[in-house]
Amino acid sequence: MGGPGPTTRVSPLLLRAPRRWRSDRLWSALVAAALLLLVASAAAAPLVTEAAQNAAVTRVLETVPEAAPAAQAPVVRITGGAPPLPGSAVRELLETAPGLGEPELFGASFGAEVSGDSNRWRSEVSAEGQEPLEARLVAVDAPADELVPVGEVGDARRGVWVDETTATTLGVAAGDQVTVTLTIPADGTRRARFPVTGVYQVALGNRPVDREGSTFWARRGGVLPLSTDLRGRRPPVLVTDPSALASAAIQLDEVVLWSVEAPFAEAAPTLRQVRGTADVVEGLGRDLPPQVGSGGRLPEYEVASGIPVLADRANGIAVASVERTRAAAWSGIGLAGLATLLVAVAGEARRRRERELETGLGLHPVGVGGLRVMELLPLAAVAVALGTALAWLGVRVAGPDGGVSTQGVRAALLDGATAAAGALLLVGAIGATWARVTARSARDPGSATWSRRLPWRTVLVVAAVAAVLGLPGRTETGGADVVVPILVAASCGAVAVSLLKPALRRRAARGRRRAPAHGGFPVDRAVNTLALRRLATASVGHDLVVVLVAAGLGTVGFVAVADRGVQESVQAKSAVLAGAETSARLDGERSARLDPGAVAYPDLGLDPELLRGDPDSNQVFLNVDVPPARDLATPPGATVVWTDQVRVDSQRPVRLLVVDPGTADDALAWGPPDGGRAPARAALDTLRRASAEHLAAPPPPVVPPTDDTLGVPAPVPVVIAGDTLGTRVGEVSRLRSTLRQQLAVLPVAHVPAFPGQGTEQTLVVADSETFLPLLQLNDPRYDTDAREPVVPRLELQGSYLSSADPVAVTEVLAAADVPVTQVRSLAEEAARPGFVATALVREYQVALAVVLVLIGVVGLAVQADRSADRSLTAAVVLRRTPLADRGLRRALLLEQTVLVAVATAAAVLSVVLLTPVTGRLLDPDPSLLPALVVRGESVLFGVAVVVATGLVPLAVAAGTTRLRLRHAKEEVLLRDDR
Amino acid sequence: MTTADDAAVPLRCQGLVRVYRAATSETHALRGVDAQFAAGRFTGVVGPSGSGKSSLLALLALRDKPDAGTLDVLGTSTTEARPSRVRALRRTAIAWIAQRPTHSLFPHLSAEEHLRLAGRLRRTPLDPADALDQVGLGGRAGSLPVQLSGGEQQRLAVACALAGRPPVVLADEPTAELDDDSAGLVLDALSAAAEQGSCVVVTTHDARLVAGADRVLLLRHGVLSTDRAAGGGDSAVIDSAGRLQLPQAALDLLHGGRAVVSVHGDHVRLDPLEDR
Repeated sequence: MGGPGPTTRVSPLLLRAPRRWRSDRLWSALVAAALLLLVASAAAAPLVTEAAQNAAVTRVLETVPEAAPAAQAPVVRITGGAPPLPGSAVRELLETAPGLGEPELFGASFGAEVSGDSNRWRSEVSAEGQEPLEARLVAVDAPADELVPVGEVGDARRGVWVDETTATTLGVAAGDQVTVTLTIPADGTRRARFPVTGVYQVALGNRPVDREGSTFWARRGGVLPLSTDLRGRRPPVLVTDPSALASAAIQLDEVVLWSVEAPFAEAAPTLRQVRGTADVVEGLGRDLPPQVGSGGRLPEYEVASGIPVLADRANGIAVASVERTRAAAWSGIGLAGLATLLVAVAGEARRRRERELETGLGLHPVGVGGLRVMELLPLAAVAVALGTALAWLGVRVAGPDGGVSTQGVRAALLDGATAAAGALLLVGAIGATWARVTARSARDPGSATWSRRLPWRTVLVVAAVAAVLGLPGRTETGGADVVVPILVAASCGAVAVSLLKPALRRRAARGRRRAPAHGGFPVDRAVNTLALRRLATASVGHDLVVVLVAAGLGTVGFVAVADRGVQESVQAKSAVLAGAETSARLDGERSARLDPGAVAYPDLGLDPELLRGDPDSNQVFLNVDVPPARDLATPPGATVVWTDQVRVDSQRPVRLLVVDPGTADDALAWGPPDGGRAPARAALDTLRRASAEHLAAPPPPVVPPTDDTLGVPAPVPVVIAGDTLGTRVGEVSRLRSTLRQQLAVLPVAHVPAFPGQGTEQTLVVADSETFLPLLQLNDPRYDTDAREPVVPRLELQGSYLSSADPVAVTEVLAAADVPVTQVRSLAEEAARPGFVATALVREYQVALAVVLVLIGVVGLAVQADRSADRSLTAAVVLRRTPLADRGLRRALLLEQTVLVAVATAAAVLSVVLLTPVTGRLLDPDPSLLPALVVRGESVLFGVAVVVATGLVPLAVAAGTTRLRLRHAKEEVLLRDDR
Repeated sequence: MTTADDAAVPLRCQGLVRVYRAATSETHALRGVDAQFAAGRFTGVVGPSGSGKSSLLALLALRDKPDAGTLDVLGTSTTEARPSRVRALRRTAIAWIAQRPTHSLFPHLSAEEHLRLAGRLRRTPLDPADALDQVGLGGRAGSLPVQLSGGEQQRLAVACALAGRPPVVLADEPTAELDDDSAGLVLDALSAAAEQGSCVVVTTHDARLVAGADRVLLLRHGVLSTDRAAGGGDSAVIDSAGRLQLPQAALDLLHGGRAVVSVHGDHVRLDPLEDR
């Protein structure tokens, strides 16, 4: 100070505004909480998107089997007839793809594959005085690093590693010499001698055993040599280094298929990285150099990589995940915005005197709005920082388990800041508008408020009803469906307050008419009356609070109901799709190789030449007396099933699954115990018992198939899964198969779905012991290797189902030399975008529900503060009455309790009302069976969660009321800024 | 542009009407008030509760708009002026002191900041310490309103209002919640402002303020009934429509609610109807 100076350059109001929050810390805490939730809701969106993308990549990579071919694996493999050595154009091209690890060179003899007469092409290895054994040469960069040695290892240059089986037979060890002989049709025989560097261990199917932590040989499976579209033989391999193989190829005139393979090197790759690699890989094929001097004998370079496919799959999962959360996330932002609006309006309402002072001093309304913005700026800044951190933490804890990059956090920060800026503008606009109204006339009592004119409760209820009624019209579970529970819960809250107010008014009126009790001041009744009157004449703030809290609690309850059901549904649907942990489609003709004791195809003593060319020859022998085949013996936990297309009662074609109940029980995937698959397991047991009774019945008389039936008097027991086709348990139906026969079937059970049903809506399950013998010569269990069928066979599709993993199954089938056309795993089925997305966002939806509750809590706290605030003068007055300020506090607490109780009741009602459509809302894929069904105990659990969670807002409201009233007298006397 | 005439009489109102409308009723707070308030005069507005004192002061302070009538402030017709001009008048020409000091003060500004704000709004360089000293608040420059007593708060409000010597100072029962000493200080400050040329209008029930006023206006039922100059007798106010409020003693004589008005030369005579 010290004498008159120039006028202050910046208004003290503006200078002080950023510290304004300190003058009312409780209110500031509520404002900060609203802003925090708004920022957290907004910031969570980009974080969830990136986390979902990266988690999707992880999930997709997890589902890739170790033995997956290069076209499905996270590797890039370039294959061709010329060796892509380091420094070559091919290697340089490969190095342009980002994120790839060190390329591994691999070469394998390939003469048989390019030979026109592969059956006569022979590659053998022999030792002195021993019979030659089939073997082929392969080369890897460092054989000693990729093989598990047996016995001593030599240091011979350009030597070969021999598998232990061959080495034992030939009697060779490290240091010995072996001769590789190549017999090429029409080109004679050539030989090359190699020293033996060492002997290596082999696994089933002659596959070299991998070193600890390596999947080098597993990735190449039992298929050697490697090619993307040619299938090689699987003899034992002699492993050498690339230069030795190259020189041997010249010596033997052998063709070598070379490949260079680089794995995706990132331990936890992001979708952005995978996508970047995939983009380069997709262009590699165009830029590959042509092979020089191949003369048409060597295959051209080709690229095989699963990275683009995996990137697409991950992207699909990420999109589905984000889609599932988008609506809920926007609901969160919307409700948080609404809470902020509530806070802004309530904040402005409680500053009437200050606003009058500001306008009285001639401040421009925009300036007043600007002051409000400046006042909230520090809170907003803190909210942006903490809200983003909260969102990050929430996503880490409850969101998809993928990582989030710094870029993602930056984007979240930006979104959070944008939301906060929007909130500030809103607050500023409200402040400015109100100041403008005040400036016109600070003393006008005003007219009816917007809330009384706008039928917002009706609009809310109509919107909820429309959303629920619109559900059946939509076939897919979309993100918008997530809004339905929020809408229903909120509209239940709106209905509840609509019913509450008239009831309270009637009650309050009754209380007024009643005469006062004798014997002093009735404190309790006064408290009740005070609370009832406040509620009965409450403003729109009460209604909004009930709606907000009901929406939050209802969503929490709904999510609690959904949580377990959705998880089980994904497991159950995956089990129905896959059938077992691993499912391998077999070549039916050779499937009997699995069972060394399989019954040989019957010898009918007929000359096949007599039947050649007769299209009906198969039918002629349908009723011949043949020895019974037996179910194929499989390892424990495995079974063989057969499928066909059939018609039941001449309806649309459906799928028939023939199972061996004895082995199927352990092999099939039954899903979660309570997730809807238990009936299928019980049905299998029923089928087994019914089949046993069927087989125990007297054998049917053999009758000619004159009426297109098999002449079986006792109908074959079956189980109908999914759509029952109108069949009834215990009523005989007629089944027509592609075998052009009809037979009577007896449904013994109906089940919602059955493992292995796939995407079919209906499945007929039969017991192999009762069904397959009816096929007579077409019984797929006959060993046709031992004797060729004399008549063309009608084949059923066979599948090997096992509880083992795909690698083990591949090895078992390779060892039995059973050709496989496709191997699918349960994990692959469970990796469908919809399923993975459901799992990824499950916890996030819980977190969103919690945010909604917190928004309700903030709303209630704001309302509690406002109620207490308006009662401060009364508190001072009542202090002198028997009611005392404690009585007022009790009345306010009663008011909050009634509000929370009404909101909780509305939330419980919404959970119950939503039960019939919960399955439709939550089903991760309604097109797949079994449909999600919400069980009674889940609903009870949801109700319990709602009631328990309802205590939180009550506690916060009580705390707010106590804090506000604590210094009531001082506030009234000193601040009086109401 | 303010003329000398406007500066001499900064407030002029004619036929001011203010009606408060509620959902089910209307309250006629002012029923056509005609008055002029001169610079350098301390005017007290008195009247029973509900007579319209605060409504009149709010209109004069441009904190409210009349439903009818005109109000000129420093020659500006405020009923026709643009909002920016009205804001400028509020900011620079009119000072307002509320009955409750907290209604005149910002809770988060210190005493010194309040004065700086006032100086900035009126574009007047001032020494906050000096201004605080004048109202006995020397040494309380850094205090927030909550750290001051009620009397100190009101003195601070007065200091802010008088900062920069605004042409118009309006005070709504400024001493209603003050002890005698504080009320005396406020009265002195307002009187000094009037002596320095401000037009000071104060609504009050305080006898000391009434006694210290240069002029006292009595409001009854929203109408100015008496205008009394200091040292002079009471004069009944006749508004521009010719309406006149009679004192109760006159009303008692004119029972029946009717009178005969007759003009005799330069006099006007009222006679009870039955006496004729």
